[in-house]
Amino acid sequence: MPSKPLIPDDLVPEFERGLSIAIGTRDGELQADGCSAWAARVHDDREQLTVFLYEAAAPAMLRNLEQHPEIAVLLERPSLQRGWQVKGRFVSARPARDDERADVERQAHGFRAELQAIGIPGELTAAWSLWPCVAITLRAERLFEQAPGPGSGEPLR
Amino acid sequence: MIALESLTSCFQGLIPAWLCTCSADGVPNVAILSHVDYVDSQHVALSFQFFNKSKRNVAENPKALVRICDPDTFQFYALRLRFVRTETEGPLFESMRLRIEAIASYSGLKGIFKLLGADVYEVSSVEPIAHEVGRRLPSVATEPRAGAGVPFTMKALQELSDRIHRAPTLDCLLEVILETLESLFGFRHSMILLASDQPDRLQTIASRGYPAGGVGSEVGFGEGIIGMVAEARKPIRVSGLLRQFLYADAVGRRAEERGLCGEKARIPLPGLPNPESQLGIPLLVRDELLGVLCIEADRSYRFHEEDRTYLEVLGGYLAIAIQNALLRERADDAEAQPLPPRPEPVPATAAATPRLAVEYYRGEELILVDGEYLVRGVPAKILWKLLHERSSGAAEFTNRRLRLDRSLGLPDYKDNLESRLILLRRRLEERCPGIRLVQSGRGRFRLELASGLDLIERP
Repeated sequence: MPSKPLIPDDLVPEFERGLSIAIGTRDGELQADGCSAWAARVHDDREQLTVFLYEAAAPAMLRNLEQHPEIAVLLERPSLQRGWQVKGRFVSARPARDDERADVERQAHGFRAELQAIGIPGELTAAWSLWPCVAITLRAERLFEQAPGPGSGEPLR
Repeated sequence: MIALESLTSCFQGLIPAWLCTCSADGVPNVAILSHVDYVDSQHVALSFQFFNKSKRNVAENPKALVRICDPDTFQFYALRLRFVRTETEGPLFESMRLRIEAIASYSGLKGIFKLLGADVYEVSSVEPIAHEVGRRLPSVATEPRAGAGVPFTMKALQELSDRIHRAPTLDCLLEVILETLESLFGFRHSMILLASDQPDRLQTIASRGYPAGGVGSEVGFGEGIIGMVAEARKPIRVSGLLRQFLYADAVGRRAEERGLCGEKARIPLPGLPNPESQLGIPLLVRDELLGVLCIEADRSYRFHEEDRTYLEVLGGYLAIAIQNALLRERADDAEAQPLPPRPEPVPATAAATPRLAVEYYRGEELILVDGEYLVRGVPAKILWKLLHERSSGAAEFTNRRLRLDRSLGLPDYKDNLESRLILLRRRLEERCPGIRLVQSGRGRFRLELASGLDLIERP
């Protein structure tokens, strides 16, 4: 019997709707580092996730990932204070393709709408640098619930 | 390194911060933080509310990175940190605890949504993130900002002081304080609550900038920001309330799922329906809590640390002014001239106005007018007495006579009669203009009726 995919079907549209996305990596001294990403795409196998980050943010993350592939991706929906964390290992990185740009912008727009819902004016975030992006793919190994409160951080998968 | 002092705007909790940590076996973790607090030029503090992965990671490996955002410009900064210690008492812990518990009390989550510790980190570097910069809003760039050095000038403080000295009565003084907070300092929504005759409760005695005045509304100690200010006798400033309510609600949902709290209900409190920023200042004279000054805004991040500092100092001055006014009116009351002989009974009914049904519930000590709540407690007992005496012809009253009336149950010392009369007068103006209390001299007033009354006493 095939095992359950790591990322459940019902979370796929949620992950791709336009969320606050944060990436965590670390260096050889166990110093954590992180940056924002503007979009996420769950692969059909539900085991791989690609995140899109602005190209200027990528070098620091890739320097870490090439030596230490452990990666954490936090996806959060601010208006509901719901969140998930995917932990896994770096697979590959490449420049995002032109045909991916529309989806990156759609998700970034969705995230900005989420921020507006919690009182952050859209004008404030209008100048964010979104494109070009680097696409970083990871193999997801564990999935955690990340809503604040007692039990936050418990594994879902 | 960028000085931490220059990033005070980032420490308001308006934009969520992230904390990146790493376990001893090299697995990174990212978590959203409700607040990052400035401690000193080399340290910040993060709230520790739940035992979670971040907490376990920093116990194993003290290195961390936190990303904070300037709400004025949306510029992000990365702070490299090293965990130093957890504080569970002291001024830093208290200041963080009060803010968190104020939010918790709004959401009925006291005891669940609470601070376990203030985790103090040393900051080894601060870097702006070049590509994560927002755009300064024209309104933010041009609007004079309280605390930016403009409003709290010596000239403005002198003007406030002059106006306070010129206020002839407590009633005028309260008006002057709130009017001046707006005209000189730009605080458009404000209220003053004084200790009520119920233990551990405050009652709004004056307010400004609200569609309904809200005079008479009550807050229990420990309820919301006002109640927490009263309980702790410390100022509290909160920005980005909407986000913090959402955060607290999310905590509440999880706590409920786990059976950690019963049904929670948001406590209705006086003030703006959806405030984004609140600043509460205790009005203290020596160690006695006279009341609370609360300032609100429907805009996020309206109040800055400097506002809190200035208003805390100002609060002491306002408290003394209010207490002096109370004492002066009491002294005036002793000197008040006796009333002239009682005139012939005055007809109580104005010709064309409908009659008002005034019901007094003796057990609950509250008055309804035409079925609507008007007032309760000592002000209700006073009004009931005045209406009865008015129906038998008296129209003019003295504070002194009320003070000596044992049926009102006023304490012998610090009866706060003047503030109760102000509250009653203002409630009548707001809710029942057919009945008016009009000051007619030092320590005396007149009861005027524009309607006929049906007085009904209930058990």
